[in-house]
Amino acid sequence: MSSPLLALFVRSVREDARGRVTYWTRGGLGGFLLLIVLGFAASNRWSNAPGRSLFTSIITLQVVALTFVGLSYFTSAIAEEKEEQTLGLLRMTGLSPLAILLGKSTSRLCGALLLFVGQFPFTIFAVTLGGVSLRQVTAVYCTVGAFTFLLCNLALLGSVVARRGPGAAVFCLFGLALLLGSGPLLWLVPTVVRDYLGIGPAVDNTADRLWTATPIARLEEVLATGFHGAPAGWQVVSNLALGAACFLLAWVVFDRFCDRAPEGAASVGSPSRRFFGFRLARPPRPWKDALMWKDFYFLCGGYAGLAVRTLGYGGVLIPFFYRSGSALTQFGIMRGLFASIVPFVFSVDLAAMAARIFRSELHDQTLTDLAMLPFTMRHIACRKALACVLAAVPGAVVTAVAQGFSLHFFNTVQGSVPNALPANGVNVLMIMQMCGFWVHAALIVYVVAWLSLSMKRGALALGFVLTYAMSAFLSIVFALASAATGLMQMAYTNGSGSTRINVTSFYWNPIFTMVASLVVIGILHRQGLRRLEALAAES
Amino acid sequence: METETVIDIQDLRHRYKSHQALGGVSFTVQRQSIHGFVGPNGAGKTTTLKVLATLLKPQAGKVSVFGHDIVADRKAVRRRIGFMPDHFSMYRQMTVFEYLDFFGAAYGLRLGERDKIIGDVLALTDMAGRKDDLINGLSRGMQQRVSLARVLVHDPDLLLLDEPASGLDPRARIELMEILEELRRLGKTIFISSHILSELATLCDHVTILDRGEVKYTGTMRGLVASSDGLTATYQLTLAVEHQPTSDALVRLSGVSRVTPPLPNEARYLLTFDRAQLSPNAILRTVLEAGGEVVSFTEDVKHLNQAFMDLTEPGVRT
Repeated sequence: MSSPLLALFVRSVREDARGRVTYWTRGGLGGFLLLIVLGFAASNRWSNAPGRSLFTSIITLQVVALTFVGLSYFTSAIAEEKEEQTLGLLRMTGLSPLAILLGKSTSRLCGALLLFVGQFPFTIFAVTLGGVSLRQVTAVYCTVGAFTFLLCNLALLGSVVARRGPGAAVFCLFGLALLLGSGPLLWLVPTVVRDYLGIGPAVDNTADRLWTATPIARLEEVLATGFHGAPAGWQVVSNLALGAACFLLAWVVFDRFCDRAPEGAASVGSPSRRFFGFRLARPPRPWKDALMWKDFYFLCGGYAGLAVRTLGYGGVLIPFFYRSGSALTQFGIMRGLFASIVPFVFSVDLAAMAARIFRSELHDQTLTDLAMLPFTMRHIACRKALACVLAAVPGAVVTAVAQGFSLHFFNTVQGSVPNALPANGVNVLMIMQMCGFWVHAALIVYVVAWLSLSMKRGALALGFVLTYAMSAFLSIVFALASAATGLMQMAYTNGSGSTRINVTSFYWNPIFTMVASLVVIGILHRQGLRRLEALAAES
Repeated sequence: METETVIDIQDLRHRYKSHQALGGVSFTVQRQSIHGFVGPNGAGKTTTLKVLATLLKPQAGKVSVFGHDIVADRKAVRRRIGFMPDHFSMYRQMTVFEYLDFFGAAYGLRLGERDKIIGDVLALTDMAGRKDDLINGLSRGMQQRVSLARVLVHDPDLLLLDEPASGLDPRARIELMEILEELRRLGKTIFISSHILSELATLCDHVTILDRGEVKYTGTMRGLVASSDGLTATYQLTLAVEHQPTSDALVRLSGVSRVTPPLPNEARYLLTFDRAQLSPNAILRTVLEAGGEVVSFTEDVKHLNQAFMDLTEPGVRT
């Protein structure tokens, strides 16, 4: 390679082009999109602007998947070199920090952007179906492209600053939370405070400005009926500028953070445990259940992690209790938003723990040491999982509360349920959906943990995508089967001649999904234990 | 010394897909011995160790440790053995004390017991001064010592050590061997694998040589270096100066089958003779009577590496 600046980039592109994973990923994405189209066909959603509905589904899934990919694939750019202690070797070759940053991040960015190409036929299909214009399609791709650029460079900065991949992911997560949450948080400033300080309009303007810089707000705007705005708006400009700023910052601080002694290198003295510069407290003596103690303190962050989770999840509950006459509608929306976000965040939290529970043992090559203890692998895995369950208690409690609020909200405030559906039927259905969420969360945990046994990184992102693909597939199978058998009779005519919705027909879908998920969990449980035993012997 | 059999392996076979790793391995290890387990790369040493450590189930054959079958009594075996794998496997974010404390607790030791035994193993491995250091900050040699301390924390009777000296500098190797000597004195049985026979020569009293999944030799270390059949002996005679009458007298001696001529600058002869017909004393008497000025007269044991080369096959296993 003649130009050292592009040496790493060219190598990465070649590796991607030769690797089977690249093609499997793109093929998998194509298959997944096909599944969505089938899902549309099965759920009779062709009537009202089907093209826009299909396109919205595709883009929503893409943004969610991209965010997960950002937390694993993008954050590994420099962190993987640090973990494998090869960054020093790269520096010895004379590659400049700029060449390393460009080489490691640009190839990943290109890989992510190339995934969009795979969905191009489906986008054309959506345009053909109607309801979405080419202007909207262009604006959406500008939005997603700018967000991808920001995410990639935010993750790059995280991987420069952090010592390891998980630290980089946490950094990236905080950055994203700041981007997505700062606007809504400003909205939460009480009216009394705004009036007292006389900053009401300024706060509202800033909050609006911050919120419209998010891809969520921009996609809502672009995908609305009758959009005639410019393809590149404030979100695109701000995301590109922020992304460029992150890249420049990563370049500036590269020497400071990447010339540190690598982990595992011998050092004089007694280095203390630190997390982003903060000195971590020493854990107490091991509990009687030592395996649980180890994972609770060294995987889940111990009581400090528990406190952070309690504060974080507890803070999320504030909008549920907040009432303000002037902004009631806005906070009603917030409540609805949080009711769906909290379970999602909780499942991400669980999946993050699942991704590390065995991977950390494989990384440290300690699985053999654990397997040598006088316990079965089932017992070891169970104790490790219990440590994560203990750490997840705040999230579980808040998720349950959010679900309760959600149920209450639908019963008393929203009233958006079809009138023909009796209240008790709605309750049963919602409770079943809530149970379905817990089963789904367990499925995500199992899929991610199982994938982490084979994948060094990316298990979390792939696990989420696979689980959602699995759920979509099950729904489609159910819809096709019910259409064929007449099981899910949507409506019936009662004795007085009026049409009512057959509530029990709604029950079958969650029941079917839950049962199928439990079967998959059972299979993964069995296979996972076998795989763990094999890995303990292999390592 | 009690000669109870600690490890008993009979006709152990193991196959990885199409690759036969172990093809009928049989040997025993006696209590309170240091038993070397030597073989070239890919000989099947690690597979045997993993079977002994209850990590791999034997596909065929019978393996028992302290009389417990390793499949049927896996838990009982695990309580009495300590296995140190050939790679560095440690929780690097823990301090040395936390690491040992965790394993002590995992083995069910009470708090008081743990404190005492951790103190003992840290003293034995000379790591007491570094107990509050993060493992991440320790050198490779120190991490190996901590790893050994971890193996000892539940006071096992048998230590299975897979290439414990690999990657260590000469000083760290010697210190590790000294610790192992000390452990033998404390009554432990040590089964140690290596692909370098000479490394184990001074340490082990017994050795098993494995090549391509088959036992090539098992027995005492002395037996390995002695002549193979026990009927002939080879002695090395060194004279102050070359002396032709002595050479002639040795060649004429009845029972001497071979006398190698001296080297150009050194009057050293190698004599091979039949033990039934001739004794070393008779040879020495003949040399002195012939007027040779003897500097040394010793049995020529085979060099360990030569013995190893003779027993194992050349080339890479495919």
